[in-house]
Formats: sequence, structure tokens, C-alpha cells
Amino acid sequence: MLVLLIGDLHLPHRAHNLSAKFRKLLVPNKMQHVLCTGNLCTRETFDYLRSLSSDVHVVRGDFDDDSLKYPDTKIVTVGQFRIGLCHGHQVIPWGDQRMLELLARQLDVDVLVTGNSYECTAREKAGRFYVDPGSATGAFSVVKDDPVVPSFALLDVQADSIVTYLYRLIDDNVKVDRVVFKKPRI
Amino acid sequence: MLPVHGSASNSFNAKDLCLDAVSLVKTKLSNELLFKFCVSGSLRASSCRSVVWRILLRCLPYDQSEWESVLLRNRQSYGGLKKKNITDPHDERFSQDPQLNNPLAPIEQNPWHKYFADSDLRDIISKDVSRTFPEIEFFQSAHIRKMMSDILLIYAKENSFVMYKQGMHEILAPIMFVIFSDLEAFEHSLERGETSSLTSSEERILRFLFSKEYLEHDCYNVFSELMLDIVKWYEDSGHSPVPRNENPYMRLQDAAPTSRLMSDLNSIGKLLEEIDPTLSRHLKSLDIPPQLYGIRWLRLLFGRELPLNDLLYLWDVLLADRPMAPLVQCIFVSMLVQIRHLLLPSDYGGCLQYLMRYPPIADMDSFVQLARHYRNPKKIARPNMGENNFSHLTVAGKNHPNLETRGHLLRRNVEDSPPTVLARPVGNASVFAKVKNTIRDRSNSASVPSTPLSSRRNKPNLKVSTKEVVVPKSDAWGKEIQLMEEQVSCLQTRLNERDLVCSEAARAIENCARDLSKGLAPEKAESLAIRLREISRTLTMSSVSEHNGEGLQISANPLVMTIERGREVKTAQDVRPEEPPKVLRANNEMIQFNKNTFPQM
Repeated sequence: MLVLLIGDLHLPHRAHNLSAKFRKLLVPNKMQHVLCTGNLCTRETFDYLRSLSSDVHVVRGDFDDDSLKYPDTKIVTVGQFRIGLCHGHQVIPWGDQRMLELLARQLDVDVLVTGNSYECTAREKAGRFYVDPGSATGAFSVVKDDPVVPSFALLDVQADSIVTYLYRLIDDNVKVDRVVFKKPRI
Repeated sequence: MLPVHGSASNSFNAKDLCLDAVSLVKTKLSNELLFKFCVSGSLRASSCRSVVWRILLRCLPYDQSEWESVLLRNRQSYGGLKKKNITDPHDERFSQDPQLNNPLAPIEQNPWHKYFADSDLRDIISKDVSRTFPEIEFFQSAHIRKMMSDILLIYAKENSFVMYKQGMHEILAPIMFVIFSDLEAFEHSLERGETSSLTSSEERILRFLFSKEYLEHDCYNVFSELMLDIVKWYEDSGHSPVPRNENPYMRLQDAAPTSRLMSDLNSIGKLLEEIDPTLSRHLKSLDIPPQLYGIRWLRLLFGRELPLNDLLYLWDVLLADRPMAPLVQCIFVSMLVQIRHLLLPSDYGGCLQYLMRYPPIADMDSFVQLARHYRNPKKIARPNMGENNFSHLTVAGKNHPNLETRGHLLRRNVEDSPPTVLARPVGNASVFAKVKNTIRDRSNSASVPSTPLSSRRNKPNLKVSTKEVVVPKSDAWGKEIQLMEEQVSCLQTRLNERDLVCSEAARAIENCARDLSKGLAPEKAESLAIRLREISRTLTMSSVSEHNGEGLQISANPLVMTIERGREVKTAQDVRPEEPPKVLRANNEMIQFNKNTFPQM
């Protein structure tokens, strides 16, 4: 079961389109679910995600229109895993590890997916897994000085483990990293 | 009987057919023996049904000592197929470099490509598998479902000319069920120590035969062998369908059969017409060809029409009679004949409901016998059965949808009973029809129909004869009965003649009495005495020929002219000389009737 994690696209405000390399990778009928951390900013972007998979979940980013009524957090169960979804601008201070761990405990999820850091990361802490897909378009961040690397993540959910593929676009080449998370035995 | 050796010979003989793991490995198996098992229905209680099936399907040889090597070979080949056809991108065989091995990488050697290519097929299969026998818990477990999906996927990839078609999962399901329950049964018998009588090599064979880790391998093996027989019904028509503009009002059944399935269904329609013309006409007039409801019956081998335990028995019989196609056709037809009393009074909707939701069969044994009778009408007698379906239920146990609409039809009886005399040429039937006819003709011509006594006597006679016809026995019996019938008819003729003579005599006496009452002149008294003596002579006559002569004498006598005034008597005497009882008796070696045999006559 493949789950695409993507977010912070900021189309069309901070970027004009998704990079061609990424659009070549993202083809329909591969992913069963799409989890979006928000900041799509337009309806067209949502329709593009819908074209990748019929099951798209979106939470509200700080630049999404309020009229769209996206929820702040969402929990999606895929296989044996509960996956929590949140944009992250509500978690203050932004990107604070302990506050994110608190949120994960509050939602009681195995995997917490957040955006807002504009950096693609995946880490495990105390039996929970924290993934940040970064910004898919490489849209700039108000709190970051370095240029933002375009990135997204893909979860391959299996019976008792999740293999996470992190896709980064560095010098117009797609670089893939893999992180494996095994569900701890209770 | 069949050669049986070893200690099991006592517990195992043809009388109590029961096959368990111990007797299985000790008995010398043969085709006839297995056939007997299958047809008698004794496999229902057996814990070795799966093994019998595997032998019948040529997955296992008859000789037990070869089982191990054959099993090993089959299981290994399935292992190879599985590795070849089911791609798991997480497998160690593939490069673990995320740059090359990731779900989205567009490079050629990415194992995910194959995985995605299969995923559509896998989706279809798992959707069907999850709907297999929802009422049976065995098929709900994820483990079994995974196995079934894998087997079907591998079969589809190995047999790309059919791929996967809906219905295959329903063929696989009973196979899995049977093999799995035999595994369980063997484990139980191990726990109870029933295998203590076995030698170590025999036990090793059995343990290898019933090993749980190879359930999937064995199922695939049996499944693919069984599919060899029925895959023709799953194949698509090779060429494109008939162009539509040819005849826009063409019905389904009129089209030239484009696939094996359709041509087989056509021939089933013909067989039905041969066996039960009334029903065939009825269904034709309603425009319900076998093509409408029969596709599922054939493809699933009646899997949805019967509850599982009955289905397994039906499959026993089917597997014992390979190639299955002829018997399948006969089963198809007998399923229709079984519910003809429901179909004939029903309209289009009612018929379709009965055919789409076949009412459960009450007595499976007689149903199977009926089917086998159609398959081989000369060897196997038609079972004597009445209504054999629970017409108010469906297989799922719910109320049948026809129940409400049918109320009044239940009471109405269908006049014509199912065809007892078969359309298929059976020696007995035609002979009996002939016997019946000759009896009726003869009694009409020979006996005097107007005599009330004789006509009353005729009736029970005919009834007996029709009753004999209903239950056709073997050929020897037929001859015996034929002989008896002819004898009875002969006796009947003679009885009628005797009645006639009696009534004539009675009238003559009546006349004498009238003359007596008029007056008693001595010469009159003399003639009266002569007349009375004649009458007594007539009455004491016994043989037909003498009687015939006497009858003429009587009529010649002027005193008996009064008798001849009755018209019916005259006709009787006219007919009598022409009738052929004597010739008939000479033809059939019947017991000679004369004074000595029946002195009282």
C-alpha cells in the first residue's frame, strides 16, 4: 500500500508549477492514498492530487482559504498504522520536536506527518514515526535563509513496517533516500 | 472382491465403504474402487476425499510408494512458479539501492514495474476472493484469502489465454476446503494415535501427504488439473462477435455460438428437448434458453446452486466420470427436470427466479442417480422420486422470491407427470408400450363390451398393467412381465365368454319357466325337459372350442331364438369366430388351458 505525502506547494503564489521531474514520477494508479499537509492554495492543485489517487486527505495550511473548511488535523488508518496529519503552523514554537511528540501522543498515532518546516525529514522517536515531506515545489520559507529543496515522501505501508522513500530534487536530479520504521511490539 | 492386503482388510470391504488415512495407505487403490467410493457417497464421511480427488485428477499415482516423489516434484514446481510470478519488490533478490529500487523510479529494471502491472489483476481477484462463500467462516480468514489470491494470480499468469475470470475462485474454494479439512482430520487422528498400526514408511508417506505448509502448493496442483476440464467454458470467443447490423432482432440463442461455452449450452438445450419435450417447449415459448442462466451453472460446476456439502458429493461423482462434460450436461438437464413441476406453471419471471435461485435439492442421492441415469439410461435405473426441492427456500436459506406469487400454483397439480418412459431409447419402454396396446385392443375385440360384468372386470386388469410400466426393471424382468400380461389377457377373454354363456343360459331358463307356468301338456313337458337338459349341458362345458360349437348349436335350436333377439349377443357371436386366442396361445409358450388344468370350468 503506497501513500504519497506532499504539501506546502504554494501554487501559484510562491511557485509557478511542480517541477517536470516530479510530475514525471507522480503518475496515477500507483498510490492508494494521498495525504497533503496543506498550503495547496488553489482548487486546481487539489484537482491535480485527485488525479493521482481517488483518496486524498488535506489538512489546512496557514495560506489555505478558510472557506475550503479543511480540518486542522486528520487521522487516516492505513493497514495496521494510524497516520496523523497536521500542517504544523498551529504547533508553537514551529517545528519544535517535543511539541510534535506531544501532538502525536494527543492524536494517538503511530506516524505523524507534518509540514511547515520546508525540509524533508523522517525520524523515529519513542516508537513513533515523524515524517515531514517538505515543500514539493521548493517554495520559499519565511523563516529559512537557505534555498528550499523541492521534496515529497512516499510511504510503503506493509504488515508490520513502513518503508519511507524521500524524494529530493537536487541540481535537477531526483535523489531517493529510504528510511524503514518497524512497528514496535507492545 | 478387490485385492486387499494388510491388517486393514477386515475393517475395509465393499460393504461399509469408509476410507480414512490408515486404510488409504494400506489399500491397493484402483479406478473401480475409487469410482465406487465416489458414487456411493461414502466420501462424505471420509477424511481422504482430497486424496481421492487428487488421484482421480491424476495429481497422484495409484501406487502409494510413488506419492512422495510426485508430491515433491509438484510442490517444487509450484514454488518455482510462485517465485516467478509473484513479484515482491522487498525481496532480497533485487537491488536494495533506493535510487534504483523505489516505487516511482522510471528505470527499466525496477521490480516495482511488474508489481504495478499485476496490481489491477490482484485487485480484481481479491475482490472476488473476499466474496467467496460468505456464510462459511473458513473463507473469512486473511491467511486463506491470501493463499487463494496467490493461487489464482499464478494461474492467471501461467495461463494467459484465459487470464482470471470471475468464477474461478468458486472452483478453487471447495478444493481448498476439502484439502484443508483433510489436513485437520489427519492431525486429529495423529493425536488420537490411530496411526500406530502403520509401519514407519507408511506413516512417513502420510505425514508428507498431509503437510500443512504445502496446502497452497497442493491446492494449486489440484486446481490447475481440474481447470483443464472446464477451462473451455472460461475462454473468450476467439473472434469478434457477429456484426450487429446483420439482424438487429436476433436473440441470444439464435446467434451462431462463438465460444465453447455457448455451443455446449446449445447442445444442452437439445438434450433437454430430447429428454423432456414438454419442459423444453415451455421454456422456449417463454424465451428462456440455457444461455440465460446456464453460464454460471457450468462455470462454477453448480457451485452456487447447491450447499457446499452436497456440492462436494456432486463433484465426487463428476470427478469419477472424467471427462466431465457429458455428465455435466446430464446434471444440468436433470436439475431442470427436477423442478419442472415448478417451472411449468410459472411465467417468465417465475421461471427465471427458479433458475437463478435454484431451490435446494432435498434428496441429493436420488438427484445424482437421476443425472447418472440420463448419462447412462441402460445401466442405471431412474430413481422413483416425487418433488425433491424445497421450493420455498433459496440455497442461502432465505425465503424464495417466488413464494408470495406462487400461492395458488402450489395447489394446482401439473397434469402430466414427469416423463416416466424415456425419450432416450430404452428397450423396455417400447416393449411395454406395445404390450399395453395389444392388451387394450384384444380386450376390446375379444370381450363383449356391452356386458357390464366383463367391462368391470377389465378395468383392474388394465390398471395393473400400467403400474408395471411405471417401474421398468431389467430386461429379464421385462420378458417375464410381458408373458404374464399376455396370459392374463387370455384368461380375461375366456372369463368374458363364460359370462356370456351364463347370461344366455339364464334367459333360456327364464323362458322355460314362463312356458311351464302357461300349462302342462305332456308333450310340452317333454320338450321343456329336453331344453333344460341342453342348457345344463351348455353350462357345464369348459373349453372354448367346444363352447363355440355349442353356441352355434344353441342358436340353431328354434327354441332359443328368443335369446338371439338381444342384439349385443348377436354381435358377440359374430365377433367370436374371428378372434385369435388360440393362435396367441400357440405363439407364446403359455400354460395350456384345458379341462384338466381347470376342471371347475
